[in-house]
Formats: sequence, C-alpha cells, structure tokens
Amino acid sequence: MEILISLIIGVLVAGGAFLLLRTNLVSVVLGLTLLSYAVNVFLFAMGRLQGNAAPILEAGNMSTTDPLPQALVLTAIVIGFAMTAFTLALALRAHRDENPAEREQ
Amino acid sequence: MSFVASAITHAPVAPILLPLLAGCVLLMVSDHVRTQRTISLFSCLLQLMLVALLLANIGESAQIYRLGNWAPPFGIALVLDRLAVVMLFTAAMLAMPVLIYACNGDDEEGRYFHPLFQFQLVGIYGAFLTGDLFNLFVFFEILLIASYGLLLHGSNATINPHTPSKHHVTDSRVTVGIQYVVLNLIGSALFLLAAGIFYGVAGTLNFADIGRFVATLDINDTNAATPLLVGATLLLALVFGLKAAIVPLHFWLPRSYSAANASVAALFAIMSKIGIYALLRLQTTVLASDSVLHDLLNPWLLGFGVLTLAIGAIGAIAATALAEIVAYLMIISIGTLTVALGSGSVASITALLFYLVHSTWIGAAMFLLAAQINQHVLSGGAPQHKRLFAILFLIGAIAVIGMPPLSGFIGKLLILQSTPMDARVAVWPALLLGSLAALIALTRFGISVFWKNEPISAGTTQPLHVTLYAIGALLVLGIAMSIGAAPVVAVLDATAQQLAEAHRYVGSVLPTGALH
Amino acid sequence: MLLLGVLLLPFVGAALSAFFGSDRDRRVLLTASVPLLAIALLMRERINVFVGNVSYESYRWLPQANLEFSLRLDGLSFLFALLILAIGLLVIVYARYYLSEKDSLRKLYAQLLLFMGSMLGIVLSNNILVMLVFWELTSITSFLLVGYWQHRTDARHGARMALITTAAGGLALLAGFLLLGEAAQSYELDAILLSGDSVRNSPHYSLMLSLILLGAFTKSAQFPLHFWLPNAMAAPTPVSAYLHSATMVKAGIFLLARLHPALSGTDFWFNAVTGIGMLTLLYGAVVALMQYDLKGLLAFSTISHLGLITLLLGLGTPFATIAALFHIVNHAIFKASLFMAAGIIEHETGTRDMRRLRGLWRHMPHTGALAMVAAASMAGVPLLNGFISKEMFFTQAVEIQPYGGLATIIPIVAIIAGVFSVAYSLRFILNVFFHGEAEDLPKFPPHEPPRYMKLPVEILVLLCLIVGIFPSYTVAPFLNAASVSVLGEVPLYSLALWHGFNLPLLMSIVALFGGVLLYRGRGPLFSWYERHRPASSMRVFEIVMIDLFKAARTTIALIDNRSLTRPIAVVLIAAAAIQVFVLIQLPQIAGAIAVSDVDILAVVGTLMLFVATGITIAWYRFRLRSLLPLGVVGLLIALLFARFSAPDLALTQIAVEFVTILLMLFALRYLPATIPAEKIRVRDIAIPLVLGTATAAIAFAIMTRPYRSIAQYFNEHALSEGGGHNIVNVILVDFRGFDTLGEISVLLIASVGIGAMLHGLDLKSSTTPRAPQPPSLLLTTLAAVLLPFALLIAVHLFVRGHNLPGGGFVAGLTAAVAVLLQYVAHDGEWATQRLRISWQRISCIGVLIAIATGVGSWVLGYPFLTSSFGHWQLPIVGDVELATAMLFDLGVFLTVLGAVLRMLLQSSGRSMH
Repeated sequence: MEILISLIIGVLVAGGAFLLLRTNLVSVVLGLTLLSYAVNVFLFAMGRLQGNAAPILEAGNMSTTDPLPQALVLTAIVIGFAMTAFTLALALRAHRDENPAEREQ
Repeated sequence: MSFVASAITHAPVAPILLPLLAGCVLLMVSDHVRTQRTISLFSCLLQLMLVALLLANIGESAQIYRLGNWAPPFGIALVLDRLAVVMLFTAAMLAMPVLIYACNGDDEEGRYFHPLFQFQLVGIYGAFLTGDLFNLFVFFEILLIASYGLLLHGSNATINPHTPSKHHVTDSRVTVGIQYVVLNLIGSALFLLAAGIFYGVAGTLNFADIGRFVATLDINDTNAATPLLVGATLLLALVFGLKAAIVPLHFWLPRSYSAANASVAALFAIMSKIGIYALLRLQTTVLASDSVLHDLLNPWLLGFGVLTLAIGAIGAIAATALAEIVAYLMIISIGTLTVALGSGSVASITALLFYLVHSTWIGAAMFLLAAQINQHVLSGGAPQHKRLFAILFLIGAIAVIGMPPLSGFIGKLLILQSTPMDARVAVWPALLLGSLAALIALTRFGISVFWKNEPISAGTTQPLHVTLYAIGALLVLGIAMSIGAAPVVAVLDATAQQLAEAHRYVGSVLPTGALH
Repeated sequence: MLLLGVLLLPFVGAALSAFFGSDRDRRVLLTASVPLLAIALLMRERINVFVGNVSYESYRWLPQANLEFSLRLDGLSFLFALLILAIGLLVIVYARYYLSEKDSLRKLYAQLLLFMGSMLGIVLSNNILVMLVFWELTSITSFLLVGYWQHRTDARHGARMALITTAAGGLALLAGFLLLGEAAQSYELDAILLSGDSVRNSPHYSLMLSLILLGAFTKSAQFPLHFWLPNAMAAPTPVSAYLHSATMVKAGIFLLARLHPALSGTDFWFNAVTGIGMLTLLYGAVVALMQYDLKGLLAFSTISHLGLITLLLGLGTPFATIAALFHIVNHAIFKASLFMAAGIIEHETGTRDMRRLRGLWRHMPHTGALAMVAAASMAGVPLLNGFISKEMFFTQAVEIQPYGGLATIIPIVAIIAGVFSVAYSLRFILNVFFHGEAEDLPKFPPHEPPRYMKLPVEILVLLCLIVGIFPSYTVAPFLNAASVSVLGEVPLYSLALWHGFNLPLLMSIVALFGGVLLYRGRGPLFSWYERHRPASSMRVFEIVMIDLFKAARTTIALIDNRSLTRPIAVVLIAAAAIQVFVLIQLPQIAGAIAVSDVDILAVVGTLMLFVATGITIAWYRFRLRSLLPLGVVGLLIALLFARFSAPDLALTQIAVEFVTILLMLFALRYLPATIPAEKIRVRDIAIPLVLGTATAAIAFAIMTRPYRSIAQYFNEHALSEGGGHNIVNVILVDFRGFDTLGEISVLLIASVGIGAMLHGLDLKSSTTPRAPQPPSLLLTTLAAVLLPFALLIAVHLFVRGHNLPGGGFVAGLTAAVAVLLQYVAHDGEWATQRLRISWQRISCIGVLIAIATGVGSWVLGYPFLTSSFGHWQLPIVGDVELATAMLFDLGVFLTVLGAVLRMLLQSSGRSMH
C-alpha cells in the first residue's frame, strides 16, 4: 500500500509541476490543484496508513489512527479552496484586462 | 483576577484578535469612507499602544500563551519572547503612518482597503507570535491572501476613473499579481510538504518540540531520519527564502512592489522581512545551538546573501522609476539581512535586527516618498514643494544607502563588524558595493528630478497635509534610531542573547520536559 | 563641552540660518559670527595646545559598535580647525559679493556652514568611526555645494562625479578603519597612535593601508583618482576656494598625517605614498600649464601641490613631515587667495577663459597686484610663504636621494615640477593682466570689485607676506604644536628664510629660471598638448556611467525575462534539488517497517487515478473538458481518504471538489475555450519527473519508518476533556481551534479579495456567455424541493460533527450549494430579490462568533478558545451535550456559508452588492 500511495503522490506532483510550467494561467491553476492534491495526500500519509480505524471514539474503543494529519489536511483543503477561488477570479480579471475591447460589446 | 492582570495574561493573543475584529467590523459597518478610516485608524492606534506596552514590559523570559488551555506541544502555543515583541513593534509602528498616508486617498482607489489592511496585520502579527509550525502556515496564508487583495487594490480602473495614476506603472497590477500569487501558492504547497516531513519524522509541530527532537539526533546513527529532517529544514528555508525574496527567488518582489499602490508597497516593506524572521526562528529553534544541524543553513545564507546583494545592486542601477529603485534597494536590504543571518553570532543577530527594523521603516518611507514625488514634483508642482521633497528625499536616501549619520549606517556598521573573518572577503565588498550602487542609483534619480527640471510653478498646488507627517514620522524613526542607537542596540542585543539560548526557549515552551 | 560647542556651532548656525531674514548684509554678519565665535572659543585653548597637551571630550553614542562620540584637540587638529574656521570666515564674506542677487545666499551659507561643521568633525574626532561619519558628511555637503547652480549641466555632472568618487573612497576607508580598529584593538585615536607596532604587524596591514589610502587619495585628488576635482570647479568660486583648495581636499592629507604614527614606517607606506605623491605632483604641474580656464589651472595646480604634500608625508622623515604640515598652511593661504582673485576676475569680466582675458592690469591694478603676490608665492618666489616650504621640500628631496629606489629620482621630479609651477604661475598673471589690451569680454569695461570683496584676498595675501618674511613670529608655534602631535618629538629645525647658498637654493633658482624659459617657449608645448589632449574625464566618466546603466539593464533583463515560468521553474528546481540531496544522504530509501498488503481495489483505484491525471494533462488546453478528469482525480482522492480511515476528510474532499468544479465552470465560461499549443522543452519534462520521483521516494521513506507522535494525547483526551467522540473534529474546534479560526479568516478574506477584484467587472457582457438559457421549470422545481432537504442534511452534518464525521465546515458547504442552486435555477433576479442577504455579513458574523466563543473563556479565567462542555437532561430529548466548541463550529458554519456563496456568486457574475 505504501508504494501505491507514494506513486500517487509522485504522479500528482509530476503532473502538477508539468502544468505549472505552462504559460497560461488556467493551466497553472490546474497544476496548482494537482499539486495541492499531492501535498494533501502526502500530509495525510505522514500519519501512516491505517485501514478501518476511523478516529472516532466508540465506547471502550481506543483509536489507533493518528488523527492530527487528518485535521491538518482538512485545514489545508479549505485554505487551498480559498486560494483556488481567488486565483480563478484573478484569471478572470487578467483575461478581461487583456481583452478590454470585448468590454465594449 | 484583576482586570490588569487579566489583560497581561491575554496580551499575547490580543495583537491578533484586535485587527481581526476590526476587519470584521469594517466589513459590516457602512462603506462610508470616514467611518472606515476612523475604525481602521483607531484599531491601528490601539495595536500600537498595546505593542508599545508589551515593549515597555519586555521581560527576561518569554510569555507562553496556551490557546485552548492545552499544553504545548499538543495545543497551539503563542510565544511572546523578545524577538516577537520587537517584530510586533516594528510592524505596528510601520502600520500606523502607512495607514495615515493611505487615508489621503489611496484607500479609495478600490474596495475594502481598510478590512484587507487589518487582515494583513492579523497575518503578520500571528506569524510573529505563533510557536507552532502548522499555525505559522495558517498565518502565512492569512497574510498572503490579504496581501493578494491589497496588491491588486486599485487595479480596477473603473472604480475611480477621475483619479490619475499616481504611479509610474510599467506592469499592470494584475500581471504582477498573478506572478506573486502563483509563486506564493507553490511556496505554500512546499511549506505543507516540509511540515509533513517534520511531522512524519518528529511526530510534532511545535517549534520547541521539533528543536528538542533535532537535538537528540545522533549523527552516527545511519538508520536515523536525520537526512529527512535536513530536507524538511531546507524546504522550509526555501519557502522562507521565497517570502524574503532572496535571489534567485526574488523575481516577484521588484515588480509587485513597484506596481503596487504606494501605501501597499510601504506596508509590504515588512513582508519580505517576515521571511527573514521565519528563517531566524528556524535557526534558533529547530536548528538550535547544540544540534547536529546547527550550521546547516549558514553557508547557504552567506552565499545567497552575497548573490542577493549583487543582483540588488545591479537592479538598483538598472531601474529608472524611484519605486523600482526602492524595490531593488529592498533586495539589497534582504541580501544584507541574509548575510547577517548566515553569520550566526549573537552580534550579527543584533545587527540583523537593527538593520531589519531600520530597513522596514525607511524602505516604507521611500515608497511613500516615491509616490509623492511622482505626484507633486514630476507632474509639476509648486517650487516650495519641490524643495521640501528634495530635503525629505535627501534624508531618506542617506538612510537607505547606509551613509552616515543615519540608521542605515549604524546597521551596516554593526553587520560589517560582526561578519566572521572567513566570510569577510566576499561579504564586505558585497555590502560596500551595494551601498555604492544605491548611491549611484539614487543620485542619478535625485539629480534628474530635483536639479535638472526647473520647477513648473504654474502647476496647481495640491495640498500635502497628512502624507507628509506619515513620511516624516518614518524618517524621524530612522534619525532617532541613529541618535538613540545605544539603547536600541541594547534591547536588540538582549533579544539576540535570548535567541542564542535555545534551551531557554524550549524550556519555557515545554516546561514539563519530555512528554512523548 | 568646549570642543563639542565648537563642533556644533556651525550646525546650529545652519539650522538657525532659516531665521536670518532677507537682508543680505545682516545675513553675512550673522553667518560670519559663527566661525568668529568658534575661533574665539578655540583660541582659549592655545596655551594648552602650544605646550603639547591634548584635551579630550567623550560622549556616549554606540559603545556596542565602538562608536563613541569622542573628540580631541591637539596641535594638528588645532591647526586644521583654525584653518577651516578662518578661511571659512573669509569665504563667507567673499561669497556675499560674488553671488549675484538672484542666487540664494541663504542656501549657500547654510550648506557652507554644514560643510564647515563636517570638516571640523573630521579634524576634531578622536574616534575613527566618528571621523568617518564626518568624512562622508563632507562628501554629501560638497555634493550639494558643487551642485549649487543646479540648472547647469556641468554643475550637476561635476557634483555627481565628486560624490560618487569620494563616497566610494569613503566606503574603502570604512573597511580600512574597521581593520585598523581591530588591529589596534581600539577605535580611539589616542590608543591607535600608541599601537603602531601591532598595527604594522597585523596580517591585514597591507590591505588595511591600501583601503585607507584609497579613501585618502580620492578625497585629496591624488593621481589617478584626481579626475573629479577639475570637474568640481563648476561650483561657485567661493566654494572652490574653500573646499577644493583650502580644506576638503586636505582631509585626505590630514588623515595621512593623523595616522602617521600608526601606519607609516614601512616600505609599503613609503613606496605607495611617495610614489603616488610624486606622480600627482608632476602630472598636476604639467597639466596645469595647459589649461586655459583660470579655475582649471588652479585646480590642477592644487592637485600638484596636494601631490607634493603627499610625497612629503610618504618620505617619513621628521623634517619632511614638518615641511608637509607647513605647506598645507601655505598652500591654503595662497591658493584660496588665487581662487578668490580668479572669482573677482570672472565676476568683473564675465569669463575665466585665458584665451579671451588679457590686459586687465589697466582696469583692475589692485586685484592684479594681489594676484601677483599670491601667484609668486605659488611659484615659490623668495620672501613669500610658498618659498619657504618649497625650499624645505627641496632640502628633503636632496637628503633622501641617497636612499636609492624611488628616492633617487625625487630631486629631478622636484625640479621639473618646480619649473612647471613657475611657468603656470607666470601664465596666470601674464595672460590675464598683460599681453595687450582687454577687449572682447562679456562685461566691458571691467573694473575693481566692491571694497569688501577684495578684503579677504588682501588678508590672505598679507598673510603670504608676513609668514614668508617672519615665519618664526607667526606660524611657528602652530606648526610646532602640530608637528609634536604627529611626530611626538620634534627635531631642531628652523623656519628661516635664508639658509645660505646651498643645493636647495640652487634648485629654486633653476626652477625659477627654468619656469620663465618654459613659459616663453610654451607655444610648441601647447600645440603638442592640443594634439594629444586626453579625453575629457567628464566624458569618460559619463560614458562609464552610461555603460554601467546599460550593462545593469542588460543583466537584469537577462535574469528576469518577465515570464511567469522562469521563477516557477527556479522554485521547482530548488525543491527537486533539495529532495534529491536528501535521498542521496539517506542510507536506504525503505525504512524498518514492512509495507502493508495491497488489495485489488486499491490497485484499480490507483490506476484510475493515474489515467485521470494523465487525461487532465493531455486535455489541459481544453479548459472545460479538462475539468472532468480533474474532478475524477479529486473524487478518487476522497475514496483514498475513506479507505484509510479518514471519513471526515473524504466528506470534506467531496464537498470541496464539488464546489471547486462548480467555481471553475463558472469562471471558465468567461475565458476562451482553448489555449494555443506551446512547445514542450526538455525542462518541462525533466523537472516534473525528478520532482515527482523524489517526492514519492521521500513519502515512502517516511511511511516505512517508525515515529513517535503526539497523536496518542488526542486519542486519550478528546472525549474526556474535549467532550467529543470525533477526534478530528475535536482537534479542529478545540485542540487546534486557532488554526480553524485562521482558516475561516482565510476564507473570509479570500471572498472579500475576490469581491474587491471583480467589483465593477461586468462579467455578464463577456466574451462567450455560454448558455444564456431561460430558467427551466424542472430546475426551478428541483431547486425548490432540494433546498429544505439540503438544509436539513446540513443541520444534521453540523450537529453530529463533534461525534461523527461532519462538522461546521461540511455543513456550511452543503448549505451553500443548496442556496446557490436557487440562484442558478432562477437566474439571478428572483433569488436576488428573495434572498436579500449580504453573504459577506453572514461570514463576518461567523468569524465574530468564533472570536466571541474564544474570548468567552477569558471570563472564566482561561486562555483564548478554552472550551467547556456539559451534559443537560432535557425532557423528551434526554441527555444532551452542549459544548462551547459547538458555538465555535457554528461560527465556522456561517463563515463558510457566507464566504463560499459570496465567491460563487461573484465569480458567476451574480454579484451581490
């Protein structure tokens, strides 16, 4: 399993990096999205992998999963979402600024 | 518990909450500009008073604030040590005049200037206060998202079609904004990667706790994860270097700073310093004195610092508009700070802090001055304005170049003296030639603006009022730092001493010893 | 206090000069009173100084950097201080008449006083760093003074050249002083002067000396760093007389004399100082003769005399040093008077060009007589002060000659320079005052200047005579005191006019006659010089500067090609390099823990993810189309989270994925559908490949290594102290609630930032508004039906969040999507009218609730965000647990709802207020 997860991280990072090196902003946004997926999985994997052990306490049942990376990833996902939204809006702005003529229509 | 005692207890979190509260309130009350200004100014004034109070009561040991009453390293702890107080004061003392300046009309160039300004301060203060790696990430994101908004402030030409552009803008704010945003987003991803490695290896996120873990590393243990921690540290240094704009990670700074609204550029004078601050924290916690990783960053910092000085110098000479020159002078100051950081002694950290405070305030003054010169001198103005700005420019230039007798000279002197012997052969020439380049660039600009053109007396005499007080206040700070250098250096020396004693930082954050 | 008082007087005077009023004569009196008062104060110390006492004053500045504001008064500083103040006084009087009515006297005087103070600082400071401070201040003030006539190109260029050259020298000096201070283990002169041996034995001695000499030589215009001085002649003549002959250019020489005890006495010193001095002496003398500008002649003559003094200081013998000090005084006197005379001539005729000037003797005999005496002194004619010191120089030249090496040629050089100096002095006088009738002058006829304009010249010329005839009764005590402070002990010497017939006298006679002959035969020399005239230093300097700017611009353009890709590539390469570096260091990638088993589902999922990623990349040019595989990747990652025990993450990932894709759909509608293809370079493949592989390897390395984390604490305390079963949620709202507060702040700020950025941007009338279809009935109905359900689900997710997967964030997203559907279904207007809600306000309220919850714990005496919870027995419902954490989560919910809606609506062109 660890190999699979590592491969997933690797492929996502590589794909993200490839798109980041494109010149168009929207491609860069796609690249950032892939990169943040990769980073989230990476961060998540730092708590090691555990199947069927959700960090939810049942009666008399101690969790063995590391819950902290999950919480961190959650925060990271939300922040990443805010950043993506902002970047998209920026792309819109940039496009409108570059094509001012279209505003006349 | 008395009110005063309670106020002192909660003082560490107050600088973060105050602007956050102000920002939210600003978004909810009327859009009316006077209301917005009043609240914003009041908030900044409170912050300044609070931070001044903290500075006055600066103590021997750090004050630890356990958020949620959870003991570190499990909960997030704020660490109000001398360094944090110095940085807070630098930021608050910068924010006040800059905000006053912005109230001359910069704030009306776009929407939500004041909320974004306050939110920016939330992120800055938080970054200085937090003792937790991931929480630092969060505050970085706050200050970044706010800075994105501020950087693009006023880029919307449809808002205020009657206000002429006050800037010599070569790139549109949106274009430079894209570069700034994308680079910082990549930086954020790398930050998370580094934080992940730290957690995956050390199992903790608290700086002191990571430092404690690193201190236990055995360099001879082949199976140990030392290289992984080295990697995480270097990645973090890369992220912080990107924030600080150390060459070759500097691309975003000259363009965005010179394209931004003057008040925003002036506020940003502290932004790149946050990268330096974070590197310093990294050095003095994670890579604390007795760890095997102690000297990991120093050679890199010295090397890239010299490179930064060189590129900054070349850029300053190449630039034509004042804002652009000042932006490259920022790069020179970052190079100076990086070199001092790489020197790593108590004396060099003292020097670093002095120069950091100086270059923040004076750099900001120069950005504001650049805009005012554009408005009142370059586009024609009254002769008496020209004379006044010439004097202000002269003072600012002397300070920013590092010529005697102003603060820049003192800072540079301290750094030159504290450079280790074996590094001098590269560092001294770089520092001195950096000054020369700054001199050449500013002389050229000053002569062509103030001497070459006869004043166009016919120009409408625009009122100057508050903007001058703002610039004057920042310049006076530079003069005061020179006259009162001894007490300032004494405070900063105590700060550097405190940083040098890493075990005290760890001890005060984690009093209970090994917990896990 | 006395020294500080003397030093501060000019600065105070400059500050007060703003209030001196508009009357020019009153301004002269008030300004002149500054040096007068300072001289009076200083003279009180003369007895002390003459007997060889040194007085000190010290004020605290920055002891941590050895920067103490300490001052000293000994013979040398006394002599120089008097020179600075006395000549300054005369210059102030002279300038009053020199400047025309339209030139600002106020500006000139203020700057002159500032300069005077800076110059006093150099000579009075006991701390070398303080000396450096004043040294640089003289550079700055001289820059201002040279650029006084700022509308003139030559003034601007000359000022800049002087500033850059001398400031560069100042930087070298700073480095040299730091080395000196370290070698002497003190920055105080009194200590440095006593530690000559340790300074000379310092490993950095030659570097230190080179740097200090660089500073001194730029300031004192030594060849080949002299070029700025002739160009500084663009300054008003009083400034030239003061700065560029009498005082500032002597600062470098003063420094050599000051540090003489500590630095001199080595071969390096002798060769460098004597050699440069000799070159300068010769070069200046030769070029001076070729000038046709009066001030140019005087400037090169000054360079030559400065070289002479430098040469003397380099010799290192006591007599040479005394001669140097004496010549400093003499040169100041006769050169200042000559400059003033030149200024009078320019003032009265409107030109300084010797090709136009002639025959002025008839029009201004008084000035002519004064100039003649001064020029004779410059030429070294007996009975004048210049003769005595020149004679001393010749004596030394002869005495030192047998030492060999450089010393061998000194007498020859001395005679040649002497010949030329006689020739250019003759030229100054004969060309201007004789040689025919005055005609073709801008101002005609010329006449004598105002009475008081001549007064300073008269005083100086009188001094030339008195000192020249009665040296022992006038200058001797001053010179003696100065010599004592440089040499320690002074050998017996005599300042007499007559030493009998000896070799030096013969040399003087040779020089005099040689000079006359040279002057008579100047014609061929001039035409030779015209043919070989070197490029103007100003032009060379300007070209160098322009080349510098060009080179800098080219370099910067080369580094920053203004593309977005390069900085990104740099960051990615750096990250890849770091990771590769780590992997090389790591003994083995796989750690001690065995990998867990793979199941077929996981393999299939992974493969699907690879395919989806691949398709995303393949389709990146087609915007809308690439969103589909991207969404698939996101969903697969959600499955991954679910598979590895992270239900909260899975839920959040799905919700965020949905909203993100929605957002992208909105935004991409307004962007072109495809983007042009671009070339793919090796870099574009190599960087991702290395970065991806390395990151994967590092992830693997960590996952297979054991670690001890703080996780156990959360597992143990979540329920007992956090009051929740869902540990992740307890971490989010309690253990690390501060992160969450930051996170929702980010959301809020992002929505505000988007609002600010897109405000006023009319998205509606955009390029290709796809699908402007009318609201469909089906959609409307569906939305109406879905809303309550969705809200219910949101509430459910919210409430159970503390114990089961869910929580404020996911609930907020769900609710946001449900509300958004109303807008989409009804196409704006309807919903905008029904839902008169400021979503921004909602999100603010959310953050405020979160803050309020945190601050609430202060009341109980706990830190920010301390949670508390309790169980209540309610009828029907039974046991209910209420935690402050839920209130916090409510804040999260509202922030997310408000912020997400604000973003979505703004990006979809349905902008609210």
